[in-house]
Amino acid sequence: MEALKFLRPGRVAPFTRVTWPPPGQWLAAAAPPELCRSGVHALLPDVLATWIAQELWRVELDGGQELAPGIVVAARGRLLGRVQAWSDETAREFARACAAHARRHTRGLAAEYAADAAAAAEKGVAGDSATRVGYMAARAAEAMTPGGFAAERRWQSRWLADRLGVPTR
Amino acid sequence: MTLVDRHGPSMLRLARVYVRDRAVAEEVVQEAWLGVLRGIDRFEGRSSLRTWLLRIVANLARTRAVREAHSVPFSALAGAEDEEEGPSLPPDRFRGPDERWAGHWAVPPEPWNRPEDELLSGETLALIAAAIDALPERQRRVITLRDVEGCSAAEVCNVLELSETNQRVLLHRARTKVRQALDDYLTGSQDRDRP
Amino acid sequence: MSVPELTCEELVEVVTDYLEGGMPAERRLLFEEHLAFCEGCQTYLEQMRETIRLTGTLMEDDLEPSARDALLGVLRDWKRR
Repeated sequence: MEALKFLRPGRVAPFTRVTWPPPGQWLAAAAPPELCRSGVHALLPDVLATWIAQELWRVELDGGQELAPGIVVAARGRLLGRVQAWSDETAREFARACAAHARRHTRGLAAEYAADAAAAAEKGVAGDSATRVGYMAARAAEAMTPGGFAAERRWQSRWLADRLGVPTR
Repeated sequence: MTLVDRHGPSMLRLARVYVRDRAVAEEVVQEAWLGVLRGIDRFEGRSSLRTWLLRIVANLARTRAVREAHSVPFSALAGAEDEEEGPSLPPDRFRGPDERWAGHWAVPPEPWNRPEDELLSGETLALIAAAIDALPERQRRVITLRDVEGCSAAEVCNVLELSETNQRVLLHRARTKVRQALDDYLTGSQDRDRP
Repeated sequence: MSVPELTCEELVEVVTDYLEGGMPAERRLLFEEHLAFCEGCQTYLEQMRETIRLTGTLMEDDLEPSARDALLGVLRDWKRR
């Protein structure tokens, strides 16, 4: 199956810090797939916003099971190519979009969180900081309504998928 | 005598964790080897040879440390073990429970961003050694075996007769302190000459 | 807070569990979700890894020649019994 993967610069996996081989070469896990423990992990577009890092890649997984919402794990995978539309500039756009969407919260804690998101978006740094804006905006939504966090994250991921030309499920 | 060369240094390092005096530690290692020679038929292969050897050293060193204790100044014993340890970092590093973003960094750590040769320099490594030396006993034993010697968790639990949970807690406290010492050293000095 | 998540203050306490592989999958996921947006915790984790790496390079305390000879002498004497 085809999925997506955020990596740190140089094709470095953010948590295992394994360097992925160049596109086309398979990367196999040493142990059978197990959520967050072993196996090649990749993302479905629904959860793009949660896992942002500097590089976005299309990946092909050999098999693959969804072991957590939006997270697919397989015994092996290979990079297909960079999603070129994901860049520092897009990350800044994303941050501003998250902050703007959060402005609809005008009262109480939600409004405070939204203001924090806006301030963070203004700092205008890409990658990690964009993710933080998304997180703050999602917390603002949760402060308005229970379940708001997850819904906001879905909105954010849909925004990203649309902006990056990635087909959603 | 490849056994001595291969395992001797680790045995000495472990002995010194219990008995600080190097000469005494060397005696402990000698006793351990004699014990090995007398009891070699009792190595039943249930653990690795190294684990078995280290365990002998640990037992002998522990006994010896107790014997030496009567001659150790009280002040040295007083720092022995701090069972009541607080959080890893001072609470003021994080936003308080009444603040927005409670529990998030108030003062985030500063990236070290140091060139490799500075990190591997004699000064930095001496600092780490000193930080380990200053740890409470049990934390020093665990971090020495795990991170200096490269023993596995299972091996350390075996050698030091610790539960897995205890071992992990001690390791966590030790590493937290050593990281803090490194952090103070690498980011704390205001007056160092920076090119 | 109805969304399960780890705060930075909590993360700092469980970083060794994470590095040891001693956490259940659901908690690892929360840990990594937090890391994904938190530069401060990314830095802290990286520093912890660096600390471990550097500690591992502490030089072998080689037996000094005199100590080694003394040990071999003792062992030789024992063998002659």
